[in-house]
Parts: sequence; structure tokens; C-alpha cells
Amino acid sequence: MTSRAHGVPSSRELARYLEREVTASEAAALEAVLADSAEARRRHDELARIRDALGSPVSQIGELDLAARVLLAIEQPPARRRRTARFASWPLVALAAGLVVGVGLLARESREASEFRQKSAASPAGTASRFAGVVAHHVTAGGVTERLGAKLPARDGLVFSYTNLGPNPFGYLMIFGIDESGEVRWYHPAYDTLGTNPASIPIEAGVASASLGALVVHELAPGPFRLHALFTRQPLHVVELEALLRHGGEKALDALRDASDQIILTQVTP
Amino acid sequence: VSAPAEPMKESRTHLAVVPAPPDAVPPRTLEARSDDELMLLARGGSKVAFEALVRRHQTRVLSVAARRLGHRALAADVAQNAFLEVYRALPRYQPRGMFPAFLYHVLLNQCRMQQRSARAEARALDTVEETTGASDDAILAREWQRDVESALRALSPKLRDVVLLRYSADLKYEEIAEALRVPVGTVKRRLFDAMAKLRERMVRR
Repeated sequence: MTSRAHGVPSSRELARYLEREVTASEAAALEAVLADSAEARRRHDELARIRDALGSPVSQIGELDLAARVLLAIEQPPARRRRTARFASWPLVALAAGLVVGVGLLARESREASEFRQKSAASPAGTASRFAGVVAHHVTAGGVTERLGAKLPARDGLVFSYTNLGPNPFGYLMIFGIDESGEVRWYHPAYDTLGTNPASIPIEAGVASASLGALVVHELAPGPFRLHALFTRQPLHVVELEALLRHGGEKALDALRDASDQIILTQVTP
Repeated sequence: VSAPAEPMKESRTHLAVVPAPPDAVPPRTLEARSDDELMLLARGGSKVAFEALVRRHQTRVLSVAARRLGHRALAADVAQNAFLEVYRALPRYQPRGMFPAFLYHVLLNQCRMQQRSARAEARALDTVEETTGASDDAILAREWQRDVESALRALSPKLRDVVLLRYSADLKYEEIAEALRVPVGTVKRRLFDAMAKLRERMVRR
């Protein structure tokens, strides 16, 4: 022990003591000083407080899901832009939306023509899914709108309407497609900026054939294409959903509680 | 609106979004595995193992980067790049029980690269926080925290790195020595010097 002024240990000595980097005899001597000297105790406590401050996480840093960002970056080199979607001009959207809204019964027809998965028939989601569903229409470059059937021309955009009725309607919706290679294409939310993590879109309760408005166009590869309309009570995020799909495939969606997953099967044609 | 040209097929067959075999390790057991085991599993193709590794270290890595750079958003980018660098290093990783040293060596290199780049300006840590409704004690505690981080930025990089690796990353002396490529004795000397200087600055504030 050296360099003590008026018997008070130096900060360096106390830092060593805090780190247990002193011998037993040094520790005993320091403890005796700490018991007698208020100034020594103050220094010791200040050092301990600095140490504790540096040991605590930076505020709000825990809210960042770095793992999801890293996995996304691993699977998607920066040079590759795979999720780019574009929005069609607003007059085209208006035309398409108008056509969609005019079809009142299509939601029920859509449910018959597509596949639903939910936790169990007796679950709240099982009941609600009977009252919730989407209808997809594809829009050609010339503005012709047709209900999505077995074939989807690769360059056509899609517009959607949804129905959300029943005693316990859902609060949020995600619509995305998965192609043959497993690549996910987002429609709602329209995920067109890498590095962002948009959430499910909120939907209204008690509505039928409500248009989602936007016409979203992806450049799709020819082949089977599975559109999912995922109705949930709580919002989900794009990155989390993609991580879920990566780890468990589409079956992983079954693990989502109190959700309804409508699947529309189509074939992208050149 | 016309009817569909052909009826849509119904099927419960699921497309394989990712090949299953490489990730056959049950996620529940991953948390119990060592860093080296996770690295080896990741090398074998298990992305869930690498994800578990990132999740295990991300809060500390982000805190070190944020304090080192003085900027939270830049810290997220740098931390992401560090983990990507670790991922790229999987084929040559040597499991010697020193993964934290390896990780923070990579992270500090990334921090230095970031600081050298044109974008790295001397900006204060963006710790603007909502204080409405906070108690006086909570406000004082945040103020203390900000002052400590400010004092830390005034230290030389050599002293700052040792303090960060010891307290924010919770590394052992041997791991710090390995990460910084200096002897253990140097680590201790720098740590005690750094703490003395930090206290000095806090007293003068």
C-alpha cells in the first residue's frame, strides 16, 4: 500500500480492492481504514458506483433485436435486393380498390377456395376464422382487375380486401407470399426498405370486403406461390415472422396462438 | 370481376421454407451449451445455434459498442457487422474456451474502423430519455450514468477498452488480455489507472 494522503487509500488502491486484486494482509489493512475513515468509504463507494454504472446495459439497448438483424443480414447479402415491391399509380389503385369493394360475397367464396389453419376448431381463433378472410385480385399493367385464381401472371400486382366479422374479430393482419424457393414476399405490411421491421397492419372489426387500398407489385419467379393472410390479436413484426418461417417452415405458423392463417394457392406464370 | 379461370387447389402440404436437417438441434438445449459448442454447431450449418449465440451476447456487445462509439444507432450497425464477421470466421474458429475474447477483439476492430470512417463524428451518446413521471432518484441516477459515460469517453482508448471489457462486457482478465493482445499485467494496470481517472473526473464534474 503506497501513496496514501492522510491515511486515505488512493483510488487506484481501492480499485484493486474492489477487484479482489489485493493480498489478504492488504485487504485487512484497507478494511480497517474503511471502517475508520468516512473519506475512504466515500471514495470506495464512488468507485463501486462507477463500476456498477458501467456494468449496466445502455438504456433501451435491450429493445433492439440484434439477433434478428444479424440473421437477416446473413441470409441476405446487401447487394441483393430481393424484397423490392413497388406501388402502382394511385389512379390504378383507385380503380382496383373500387372493383374489390364492390364484391360483397367474395370473402366467403375465398374461404371456400383457400386453406385455413388454426389451433383447433374449439379455439377462439377457430371460431373467428370462420368470419375472417381475404380476397385477392390481380391487376395487369393495363389496369384490368381479376380475382386471383389458379394462375398469377408474374408481373401483375395484387390488391386485397378483407372481412373481419363475428363475435370476436381479429385486430391485425399480415399478408405475404412464399414462392417455391422459400422466399417471402410481403404485401401487407409492404416491406420495401431493408433494415426496417414493420408490424402487422391494424384492421377494423365488423367490416366485410374492406379494401386495403394499395396495389403491391413484386417481380415473382414462375412456379407455385402460396399467399398467407395471417389474422392475429396482437401485432407481429416482419423480421420475427421471417425468423419463425426460417426455423420451422410454414408449419411454424401453427404455433402462433389465437391466430388464423388463410392460404391461397396459385401458380405464377411467366 | 370475373370468376377464377380454374378452381384453386386445396392442399395441406407445406412447402419446405428452409431445409430442416441442419437445424435439428432442439432450441431448448441451446441455451445450456457453451459458446464454443454453439460456434461448432453453427459451423455445421445450424443457424439457430448462431442465433442463440448472438442473443446470449447481444446486450453486452451493444452496450460496449454504444459506450465505445458514443452513439447508439452506430453501435447497432457495428455490433451487427461484428457478428457477421464472427459468422464469416466460423470455418477457421478455434474452440479454446475464449469465444468472448474473439468476439470483443472483432467488435473493437469494427469500432475502430467505424471511428476512422468519415461518418464517425464526435457525437454525444444519444441518451435523450423521457423523464416525465420519473422520480427524483431515477433522474439523478440517469444523470450519474450519463456523466460516467461522458467521463469514459474522455479516457484514452487503451484505458477505455479495458474498462469496457471488464465491466460492460464482464470479461475475465485473461480474456481481456487475449482480446487486446496485451499481457494480463497490462490489463490490470490499465484497469486500475482508468478507474482512478474516472473517479477523478466524476469528483470534478
